[in-house]
Amino acid sequence: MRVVRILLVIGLIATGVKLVQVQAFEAPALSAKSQRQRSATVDVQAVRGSIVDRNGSPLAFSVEVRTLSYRPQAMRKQWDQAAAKHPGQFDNYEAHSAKLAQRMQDVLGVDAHQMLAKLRSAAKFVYLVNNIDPSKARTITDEFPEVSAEVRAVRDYPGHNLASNIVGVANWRMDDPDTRNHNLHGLSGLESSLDLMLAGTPGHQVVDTEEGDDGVVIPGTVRQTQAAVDGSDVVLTIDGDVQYYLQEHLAAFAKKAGAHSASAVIMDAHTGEVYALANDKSFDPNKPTYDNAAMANPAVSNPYEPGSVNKVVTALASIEYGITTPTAVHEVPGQIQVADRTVHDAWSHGLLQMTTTGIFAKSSNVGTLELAQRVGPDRFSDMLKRLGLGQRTGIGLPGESPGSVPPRSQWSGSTFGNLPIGQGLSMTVLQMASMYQTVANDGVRVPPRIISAEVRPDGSRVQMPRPQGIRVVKPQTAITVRNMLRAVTQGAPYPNSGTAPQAALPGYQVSGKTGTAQQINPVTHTYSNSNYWITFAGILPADSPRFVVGIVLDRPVYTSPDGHSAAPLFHDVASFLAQKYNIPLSKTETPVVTLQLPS
Amino acid sequence: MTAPARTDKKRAAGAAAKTGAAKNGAAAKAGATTVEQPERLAPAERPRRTRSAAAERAYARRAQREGRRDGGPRVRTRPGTEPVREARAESRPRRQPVPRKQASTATFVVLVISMLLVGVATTLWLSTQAIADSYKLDDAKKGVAALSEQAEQLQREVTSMDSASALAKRAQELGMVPSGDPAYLVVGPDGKVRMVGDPKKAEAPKPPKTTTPTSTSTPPPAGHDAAGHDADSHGGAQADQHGQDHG
Repeated sequence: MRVVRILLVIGLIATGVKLVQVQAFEAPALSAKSQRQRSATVDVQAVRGSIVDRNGSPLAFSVEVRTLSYRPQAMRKQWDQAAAKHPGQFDNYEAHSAKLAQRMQDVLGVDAHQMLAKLRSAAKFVYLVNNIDPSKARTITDEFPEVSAEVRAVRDYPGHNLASNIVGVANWRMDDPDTRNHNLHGLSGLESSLDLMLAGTPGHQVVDTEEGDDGVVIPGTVRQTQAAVDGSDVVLTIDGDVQYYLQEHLAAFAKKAGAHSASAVIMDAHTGEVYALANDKSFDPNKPTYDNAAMANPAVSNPYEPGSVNKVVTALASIEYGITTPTAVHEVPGQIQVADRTVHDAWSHGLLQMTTTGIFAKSSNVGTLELAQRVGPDRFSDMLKRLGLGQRTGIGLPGESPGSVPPRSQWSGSTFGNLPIGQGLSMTVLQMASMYQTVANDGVRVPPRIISAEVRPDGSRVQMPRPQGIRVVKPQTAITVRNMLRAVTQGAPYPNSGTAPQAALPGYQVSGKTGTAQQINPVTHTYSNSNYWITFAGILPADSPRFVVGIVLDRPVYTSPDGHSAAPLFHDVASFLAQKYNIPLSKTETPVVTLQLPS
Repeated sequence: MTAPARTDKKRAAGAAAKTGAAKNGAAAKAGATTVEQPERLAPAERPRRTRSAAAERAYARRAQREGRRDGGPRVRTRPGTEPVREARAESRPRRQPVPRKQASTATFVVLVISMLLVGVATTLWLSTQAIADSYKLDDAKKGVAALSEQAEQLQREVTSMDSASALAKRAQELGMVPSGDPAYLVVGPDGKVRMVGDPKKAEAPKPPKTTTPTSTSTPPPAGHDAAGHDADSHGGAQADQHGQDHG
């Protein structure tokens, strides 16, 4: 009995010792080993938010795809060994890779020869095909388990070139050494500037799984969960249809006019929301390579000298300060001396009797400068500032230029002979349209915006703060100027025709202003007589404004019929907008007014 | 901490339990031997075992439970420790064994064992179910993934066909052309209809396809359906009402 007892005690002691050894000394190593056998880290993708237009039509969204990869070196060894060991039962690598390549051609439509070249290369690791449909990838990986499929996402731009300069492009980035951080990121446009909002944060969790199958999670073993946070959707103020129309027609018009480039914007007359912002050049973000030159957004980044469109500043100031009335008659000579410069009108004439309306409708430089001098440089400079010139509009697009206005302290004698007629200062097409938005909105300037709202992953909609309106002139001043500028589109017998009767739209009152600005000749550093910026800014309808349109053409062929005015394009755009938004006809026709007294 | 450690602990606990059982077994055996060989329980040998008071009490209680007489002398080896219990222990064994009590003990044991078995079976069944469910879940997840892929694919197709550029292309293929400036029919306050604008045939753009250009703009006669439609939508009171020429 004693022997039994001793044996039992020894057994107990041995067990105890083993227990201590396993629990105290080997525990970390053992648990790590078991962990490796069954635990797996499952990555959870964060879906990048979509970019949608004001009607909810997507301009950009993400699609989950797979990228197939292979280990040619290891697989060659494995298959050849298997074939050598069991001849007849296994293919050798040559035959196997040929089968795989053929199957990939059948399922994925890729070139079998190209695939074969990759499969038979001496590389350790190759990517076979990028960005394929997950179901097709599964067909391949089910049949050939040695092919591995990486989860990726691609950005789809259903409209191709539509708003591509605004939206930009995002692609799959693998620069981070931690593969868990591989994700879609923006390269240009809003995709780049709103990347933080759109991208979201990928998550992951550690689970215990059935060996070899990450799908079968042992219940209750999910741990270390870091939830994936999807990106937010971004709602733009852009209307896809209007954007498409403007983009197509601007590009066609720029081509017809032989312009180097062109930009245009359509914005809401009251809220400053941008309905369309177009350049004549755009790119297709769905293509694998992009034309760098076409990826920029000159509409916000390239300022230009506006020309006569800037006469609206003088018009606003001279009415606001009670210097003149629309029907007051002025004596306008053929030229005017400002400091050491002589400024002419665009057409040669002697002394004319022009109404204030006539000065702006016929775009007389001399008459405008006469009025500007009565306004005075200080009040004029102040008006430029209040209209937002020389300051970024804060539209929300990357790379916005503030344009340039010489500070009042640096004006020379002739500066005040330049600025009122739109030379010697520069602005973007947005700033130009914003000036006319002030006129359309009864004197309150609302800085333009292009991002309407953010839709969070939980579905809550966060409206972007609307900018505060800035009172620039009295409401009556804005209405008077708006009515005066209707005469620009007046088509009446000589001498009462405005500069842009082509801009008129039957049934609607239209206000607008044409502009032709000389460009600086880079060789002589003087204003050129053949290179111009052709501009137009208009309000539709003038009696109850809904939209403001701004257009600029860079260096069109001035002598061609389409190269000297952007008014026909404005007409087409206005006609489209009137139909698309069912804008009610103006209550009365535009009254015909006297622009110039018969001499 | 991690599961394996837990498992190890359990295993250890199991081992400990086993050892315990072995010990008890040994003790029981020892007990059995004491019954068979009472001579080994000679009072001279007792002090060697040096049982604690608690152990003594436990033995006493067991002896009482088993209702045997020879439990008595063992307890009595230490007189004076617990005279009351001793007295009870003395008195009970003298009675006849009660069969009812034995039956209830057996029932109790059977009950405990069956509960244990049921518990173990339930646990097993539940965990089997959980595992089976996790396979079902995996299948369901795969199904959901496949369906959402399909939905995504279909959505993608719809979106790409729904985009402005695709629609414009389709319209062009169908021979449609932009309508140009429409003419409007305006119903005056007096009910008279006047036409604003100049209705024109829409013209196909310069490079036409081989298909015959379709004229799409045929203005309806004045005061016809367009004006009626107009009056419906606006109430027909003001002069600025217009009917759009859907050309």
